Amino acid sequence: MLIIFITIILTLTIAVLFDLLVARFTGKRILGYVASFLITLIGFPLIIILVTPAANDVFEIIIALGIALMWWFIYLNAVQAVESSLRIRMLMEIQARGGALSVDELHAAYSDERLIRIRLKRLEEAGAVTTVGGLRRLQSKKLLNAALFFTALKRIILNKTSQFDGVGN
Amino acid sequence: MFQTVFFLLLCSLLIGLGLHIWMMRRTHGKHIYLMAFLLLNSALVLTTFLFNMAAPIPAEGILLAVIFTESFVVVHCFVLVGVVHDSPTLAIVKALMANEPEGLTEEGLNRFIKAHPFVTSRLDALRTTGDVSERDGRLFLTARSKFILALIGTYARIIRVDRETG
Repeated sequence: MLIIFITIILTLTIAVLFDLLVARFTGKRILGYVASFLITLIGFPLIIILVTPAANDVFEIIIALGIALMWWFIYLNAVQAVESSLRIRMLMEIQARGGALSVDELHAAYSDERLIRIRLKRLEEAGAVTTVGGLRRLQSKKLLNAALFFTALKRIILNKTSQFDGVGN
Repeated sequence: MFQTVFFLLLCSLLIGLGLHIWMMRRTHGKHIYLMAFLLLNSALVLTTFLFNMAAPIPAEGILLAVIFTESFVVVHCFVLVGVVHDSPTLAIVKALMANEPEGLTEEGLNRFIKAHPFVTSRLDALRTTGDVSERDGRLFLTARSKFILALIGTYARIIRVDRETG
């Protein structure tokens, strides 16, 4: 079992290094995420089969691959949080002002209006949203499916469709 | 052994997830992460006990099941963060979907902004998790958030990230 965990750590180290190198030299995050995912998904079983061809059974590889993919997912979430989490951005704002900030100053730096309009601008720049005659329309099927998926999960788990259900419309 | 551990994990995770979803719906999401940890681990203990009665599982197999389950708890909690707290981007997408096929007007966007106080909700979450403390109307970083920011600073220097606020 020790060999399995050494292989998981080795594979993930390669995957993370590849992701960081892609980020540093190309600035493209999606490419790095996809490459690191594929390294974990395909590279791990290949390495384990090559290292110990006789010792493994299929259930051992499935369980170990499950652990490797979960650890990759944890890395992905940590990285995503650093790059786009509003909470992390707010902590960075407090740090940038010397470690202390009034609530009003934080709201001045991070108003809901500014936040939403910046995100909307990014969606427009990415071609996911178009604006014609002052009317905004969604163009991205991927975002549509992601919204439907998370809304369905929220309905199943919390029996509501939005965190702000009940906030005046 | 690995086949037994595989089916043990399958049963344990199905029971744990089922119990967690049932409890979350009953409690409307209160103590959601603590419940995830407790229920998934309780399900693991229960199924390990039952499987062990049928055929003893070696310590190595139990250790593998524990590592798998704890990894799953973390992954499950990460997914729950996305489910419980609306992502601003996905909330915008939902507003756009709700206004199909006409399109979202400027007035509609303003109504949406008023109905979605993201900044206040995230500030409340930071207070709840102990990442900021408040004294005399001023917010301070805590030891934990300073540590997190130090890690992020190192990471940002490696990949040279610099994004616009928001």
